[in-house]
Order: sequence, then structure tokens, then C-alpha cells
Amino acid sequence: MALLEVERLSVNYGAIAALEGVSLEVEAGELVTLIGANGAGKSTTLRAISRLLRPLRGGLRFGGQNLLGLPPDRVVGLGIAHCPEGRQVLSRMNVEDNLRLGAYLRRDKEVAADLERQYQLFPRLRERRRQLGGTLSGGEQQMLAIARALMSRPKLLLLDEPSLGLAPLIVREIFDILAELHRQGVSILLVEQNAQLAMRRSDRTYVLEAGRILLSGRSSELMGDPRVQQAYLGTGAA
Amino acid sequence: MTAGYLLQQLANGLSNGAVYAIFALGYTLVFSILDILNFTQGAVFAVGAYLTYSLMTGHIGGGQLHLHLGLRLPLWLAFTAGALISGLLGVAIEFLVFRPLRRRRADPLLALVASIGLATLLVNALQLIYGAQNHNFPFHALGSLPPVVYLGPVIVRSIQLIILGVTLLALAALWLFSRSRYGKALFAVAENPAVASLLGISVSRYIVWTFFLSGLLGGIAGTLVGLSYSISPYFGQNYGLIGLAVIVLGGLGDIPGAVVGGLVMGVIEALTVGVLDFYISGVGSGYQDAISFGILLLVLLFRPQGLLGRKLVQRV
Amino acid sequence: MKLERIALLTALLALPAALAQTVSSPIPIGAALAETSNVALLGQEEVVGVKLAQSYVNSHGGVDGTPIKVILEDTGGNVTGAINAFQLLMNKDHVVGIVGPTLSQQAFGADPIAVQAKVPVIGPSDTANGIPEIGPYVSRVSAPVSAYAPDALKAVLSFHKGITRVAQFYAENDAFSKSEAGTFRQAFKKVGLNLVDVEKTKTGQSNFTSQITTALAKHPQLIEISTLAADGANLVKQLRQFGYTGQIIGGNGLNTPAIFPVCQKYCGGIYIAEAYSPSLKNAVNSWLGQHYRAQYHAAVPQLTAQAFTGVLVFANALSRVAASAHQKIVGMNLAALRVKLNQAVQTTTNFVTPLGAISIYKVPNGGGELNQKDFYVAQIHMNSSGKSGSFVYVK
Repeated sequence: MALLEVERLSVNYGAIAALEGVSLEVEAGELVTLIGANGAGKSTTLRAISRLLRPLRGGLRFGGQNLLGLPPDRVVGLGIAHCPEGRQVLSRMNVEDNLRLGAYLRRDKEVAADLERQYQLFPRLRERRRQLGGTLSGGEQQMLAIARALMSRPKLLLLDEPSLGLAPLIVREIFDILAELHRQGVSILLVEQNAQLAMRRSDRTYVLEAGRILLSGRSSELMGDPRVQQAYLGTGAA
Repeated sequence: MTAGYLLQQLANGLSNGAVYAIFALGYTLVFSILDILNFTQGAVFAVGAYLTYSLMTGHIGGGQLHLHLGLRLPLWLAFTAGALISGLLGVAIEFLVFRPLRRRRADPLLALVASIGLATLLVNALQLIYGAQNHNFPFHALGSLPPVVYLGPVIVRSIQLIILGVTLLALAALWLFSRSRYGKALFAVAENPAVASLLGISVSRYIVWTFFLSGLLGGIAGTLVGLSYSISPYFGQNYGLIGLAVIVLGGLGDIPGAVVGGLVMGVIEALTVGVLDFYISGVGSGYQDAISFGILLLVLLFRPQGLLGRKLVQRV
Repeated sequence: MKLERIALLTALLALPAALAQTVSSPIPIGAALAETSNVALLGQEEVVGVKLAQSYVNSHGGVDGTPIKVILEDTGGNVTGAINAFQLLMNKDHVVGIVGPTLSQQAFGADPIAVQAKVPVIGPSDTANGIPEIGPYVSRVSAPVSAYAPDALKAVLSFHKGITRVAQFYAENDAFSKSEAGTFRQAFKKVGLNLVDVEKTKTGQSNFTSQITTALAKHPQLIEISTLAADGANLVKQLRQFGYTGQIIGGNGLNTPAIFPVCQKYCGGIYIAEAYSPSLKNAVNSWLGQHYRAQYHAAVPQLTAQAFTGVLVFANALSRVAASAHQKIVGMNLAALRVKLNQAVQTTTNFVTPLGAISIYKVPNGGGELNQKDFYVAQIHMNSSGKSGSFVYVK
């Protein structure tokens, strides 16, 4: 049984279908990438998993438990951390308060230790710990959003476009960190525009097109698929 | 015009401003979280006062109803119970009005109008039960406390000092709360409910607590103001408009700003009367509202973020 | 628009009915008073008055031997209610005249309908300016403030020699308070007082501390208050708490025991100008005092006496109509009688009532205005607990 099971999920925005029968799985410890064009339904998939959206129909299970019917805050309690698109840090709160809120549901004594771990992972955040979230640069906000998601000690991390609008150097830094998390055994479902980068680092890939899964398989194999190369990697024969 | 006279007017302004401040606190609390103006606050204020009155005197009615409760509570107990029930009334209002409207993603204007409607309903219910006449707390409700105290050359009504004290206490409690884990979670709900829920914060539970707190504050304020003057079904509505001005003055949703705004509003009113009427009879008291709201307009033009408002840095 | 249409309809309905109608026995006199709503606070005192008046008239030979019957209709607290009550009394109960309504504001709405239908009306407690000017069929037995404010002021000054400085507080957004305050300012001038300060308040205002500080800085020896009851009572409380020891004279707003629970012990000493005194010595007032006390164990309130007087004036006028026509009232054509009755009401001269000897005279282009000789001043005395008190007549 996979850690996350999404089964024929359909989501509508009003009368418009955003997802139509999407099925995907994430095994424990896996790094899975979801790629696709703008508007293909990548963010919608993540938002449906974290229960920000109500699906029309379909199944949603995490660790064998049915997620349908749960409010988003309960999903967090089960071990899913969703790091949303657009680096949604709390702009009126400082870095450290943002991070502490990431551990809102935790009552254990290791929160301080985890805070220290995040600062080790993202030394830039330690320098800016008293600064308001809204005053950070784009890359720093992205780091803060990821670190905040990690503060809940998730079993599964949902990451939405971590590279969006960032300088290449920072993108590399962030992906290095993702690789490190992956090595530590955190399961990750990554939505990414930069398909090449994401596929190279991930175990498996799903290709989403117009609300449906078009292709799926091991990332290394899919990278050789001409359809993927042409549409998403920009390396296929023109 | 002597210094003592001005000092007295300043004290008058601060003590009346304390009433505005405590009223505005409940108002701004809901606004800071939900960005809606909850016009039931004035009605909850009146209900709170009547609850304490009834629990203390054992008497319900005066209008279409005459009931005698089997019990009479001492002031502090009646006060506490009245405030708690007002808090629950706040929660009921959230469940009956605001939550269903939010579910339907109704326009905030609709929530405003709905709250005005419910406020009218509550006030009319009070009139039906208690009648339109004024009710008064027993004269010795405050025990052996003297009606006024002398602070140097200045006279202040004791109850007014108590109101100022309770306002500052409420502010301190809110400040302590804001430093806590729960307070920060509440701020997260206020800033971005979706993000807050992704952090595991139950948004709906925090909203319910916000309504409870705001109802509680409304009930406390109503009883205190009722103790200071007298109560009638409509006495909360007089504070509705001024409370709105106060929270705008303090910066919408700014909690310490509401207190500062209330005190400033009180002082402006007192000085308007105190200075203008001193020279020409009836001018200051006649144009009090025009002058206070004129100043409000100037504040809006030059400091739209309110008196205390810090400009938010928002990078996107 | 709406009023006009109602008036027209009433006239159309009433006219043929009244033409055919004759006066029945006992002679029906209408009373349109506020028995419900918050105005009932005043209305209920008037209801007692008209009922007592009926038994007074009937126990003193009725109208030329025919008993009268007071028919009550509730006006509620608003204009619409008053209009409905008037229509019922005129068209269903076929009354000869109407005592009512309770408030001036209701009178401005409902009286024109009676004027249209040529039904005489006597206002028991409508003290605003311009009531008789509503039309030729409107009279009143309630004196306007301007009639008694100067007298009351003179009385207070005679009790407290040496008062020269007066300050005034009035509710600028209440029409009655504002006009009353204007009347008092004229009276200040007439008696030679120096008006040192005027403070405006609003209805529903409860905190007056800054106005009080300003007024007290001018060292008044007398303060006149024209506000609504609860506001004025809060004002008095705060005046006393802020150390004011001078005299206070209250307008009509403070003329009610409803202020006692608000200002409690601080109400003591307030002077109130009154149009009625229970201690006035004449036969009819003694009868009223005795019968009221037997039922309610208290002194007769002003509104009770005024409503009582309204019915009495009708009964007296009816007797004069009967005498001059050498004919019994019962059986007369109703419409014709109403016109004659109205003329008789407005020629009431030196008629002895609980309000003293009163006359009603016709104003140009209007109805009947009251000419009352005796006015009174009461002072509030609170008992030692500060919970209840009484109006004690000092003049």
C-alpha cells in the first residue's frame, strides 16, 4: 500500500473541470514529480490532497486513512505538509514566529531542536530570524515556506513550484536541500515548471495535461520519452 | 481658562474615551480577523448589561414580561455570568449569521447588512421584554465606593476610573494573548486563513473564539457603561457609530489602535466642548460631532492606516 | 399623500353615515389614548383620568340627566395608530367628540382627519406649539410651556434670593426640548437673569462631564434642563457628583417619576414647572383626589387631571348646547351636534376644573387654545433610601 493514494480524482471550478479522474501514488520515501503546462491542474491536485479544495468525486487516502471529509488542519495532523505556490509566508510575522507556527500541532519537546535544524539547513533564515516575513527576498521566503512546512515533521511534503521566479543559483540551493530531505527519508510530491531539474532529482514522474494524467513512470525512463522531451524538456528533435 | 480647568476637561475626555475604547475593542477584534464590521456589537453590549442587571436584581421584564428569578447574585458574579453569556451570544451570532454567509462566499457588505438586521432584532427583543424605559443598577451596586474621586484638582467619577482600568487590563490581556502560541495562530488566521489551515490551525475554531471574546468584551463594556449611567434597549446603538469612528481612527483591525483611538476621540470631544463653549456658549457642544468627525476625516486623508498604523511592507 | 387619501376616504365614509346618524344614549365620548407601546407610560395615566371623569359626570346628573359613556380606542405609540383610533371612534362608535391623542406628534397626524370630518377634538397632553392651529375642530386643555415657564422661574427666584446667573442644558435634536429651551431663554430675559452658559446635548447622550465642567466654570446659581427624562436624570446625577450645589429647574422632560431610578438621591431638590396641582382646593379636584387615592393610593398625576378635564369640558359644553337648543342631546342629528359642540367647547369660560378655572378661546384660523390661570411649581423630594420620591408642590 502506497503512503498516498489518489484515485480517479475529479475537481471542478464552478462548471469548469480542473481535474478529471487523476490517479497517482506516492510511496514512503519517494520523491515524485508532477509536471505539466500552466493550467494543467498541478496545483489543483496538491490543493485537493491537502483538502483546501473539495473534489467532485474520487478517492483520497493517506497511510490507509480516508482524507475525504477532513478539514485541512486535520490533514496536517496526519503528517501532510503543503508548501503552497507563491511562497505564502505570513508577512506580518517574523521568521521565527513563522517557523514556530509550522510546529503548531506539535506538543513534543523537540520543537526547539527542529528549529535549530532548519537554521542549519537554511543559514540565511537564522540571520533574518527577527525580520518580518514580508520583508524577505523571494528566495528567502521560499526557504522559509519550506522550512515552516518541515517544522511539522511531515511524512509527506507537498511542494508547489519552489523554483518559481528565483535566480538559478538559489534554485540549485533549494533543490540541493530537497535532495538532502529525500535522503533523510521524507516523502515528497513536487510540482515543478522546471521539468528537467525536477525529473533529474526525482524517482518517478507524472505528466499532467488538461486535468488528466497523460504519462507516468520512472523519471529516468520518462526523460527519454520523445513526447516528454518535446513538450517539457525542450530537448527533443524539433 | 486655567490649567486646572484644562486638566479636568482632559480627564473628562479620557474617562469618556475609555468607554469608547472598551466598546471599540470588541468591534475591532472581529474586524481584525474577518475584515467584516459586526454591527451586532452594540446590541450584544446592551444584552450584556441587561443580563447582569437581571442576574443581580432577580428581575426580568418591564415590557410585555414580568418574571422573578429565584436568585439574586452579587455584582461580581452577575457581571461574570453576564459577560460569559454575552460571549456565547457572540458565538451564536457567528453560527447563525456570519458562518452561513461565509460558506456561501457572500459579499462582505451582505454580512454587514445581516448584522445590522440581527442587531435590530436583538434590540427589539430587549424592548419587548424590558420595555423602552430606563433600568438602573441598584444604587449600592458598587458597595461603599464613593461616586467620585479627587485626583489632585481633578474630579473623576469612580466608575469611569474602573472602566479605564478594565479597558487597559483587557488590552494587556490581549497583548499577552498575542504573544502566546494561540495568539500567533489567531494572527495567522487573520492574515491568511488558507495558509493558517495548512499549518494545522483550525480556522473555524479560532473564528468562534474570536466571536466569543468579542461578545465577552461587549458584555463587560455594556455592564460597565450601564453601571455608569442607566440602561435602555437602545443605549448600545449610540456607541455603534462612534465606535466605528474610533476603530477607523485607530486603524481598522488594529487592536491597541482601538484603545488609543477611543481615548483620543474622548479627548477631542471634551476639548471641543471645553475650549469652544468656554468662549462662546453652545458652539462646541453644538458642533461636537461635526468637529470630531471632521478630525476623523483629516486623519483618514493623511494617515489612512490609522493613528498607530505602521505601514505594512508587502513584497510580492 | 397617504394622509390625504385616508382623510378623503374617512370624509366620504363618515359624511353619509353621520348625516343619517343620531346621538345615542348614553352619550358616547371618544378617548384615543396610548394604551400600549412605550407611550403607554403616559397614556395609562390618561386612561384613568377619562374613566374617573365618566363616573364624576354621571354621578353629578350626567348631561341634563343623560349619562355619558367614554369609549376607549388604543392609539399605540405612533401616528398610524392614532389615525386608526380616530376613525374607529368617529365611524364605528359615532362619538360626539374625541379626547386625545396622547402625544403632540400623533395629534399633528390624526387631528386633520377629525377636522375634515368636523368632529371636535380636545388634546389632553399635546403641549407643542401649533396644536390649535391644526384646524377649527382642535382644542386642548394642556397648557403650552410658554404659558407657565416664567411663573415657575419667578417662584424659584423668590425661594432663593440672590440668584443672578443661570445656565441651560438642552437636547438640540429633540424638537420639543429645543422649543422649550427657547421659551425658557425668553423667560430668563423677562425676569432679568444673566444667562452665563448654554450647553447643547443629544437625545440618548449619557456622558455630560465635559459640558458640566464648562458650565460650572461660569459659576451658575441656577441650571435649567430641557431634555428627555433619562438623559436629564443622568445629567442631574453627574452635575451633583461634580459638586454643583446650586438650584436645578427641569422642563417637561423631567416631570415624571421615571427619573427617580436614574438620578436616585440626586433627584432631590429639582424644581419642576407644573400645569396641575393635586392640592388645588375646589370641589371637583377634591372629588378627583379622593377617588384616585382610593384606587391607586397616590396623588393624582398631571396627565390624569388633564384627561379628566378634557371629558369634563365636553360634558359641560354638551349641557350648554342642550340648554340653548331647549332639547335633549340624545336623538339630535350627530353631524349637526358635533358642529354645535365644537362651538360650545371653544366658548368655555371660567369653567372650574381640577386645573382650576379655565377658559378656551378660538384662535384665528384655528381651534381652541387654553387659558389657564393657575400654574404650579413642584420640588422633587426623595426618601432616605434614594429609591423613590415624590413631587411636592411648593406653589
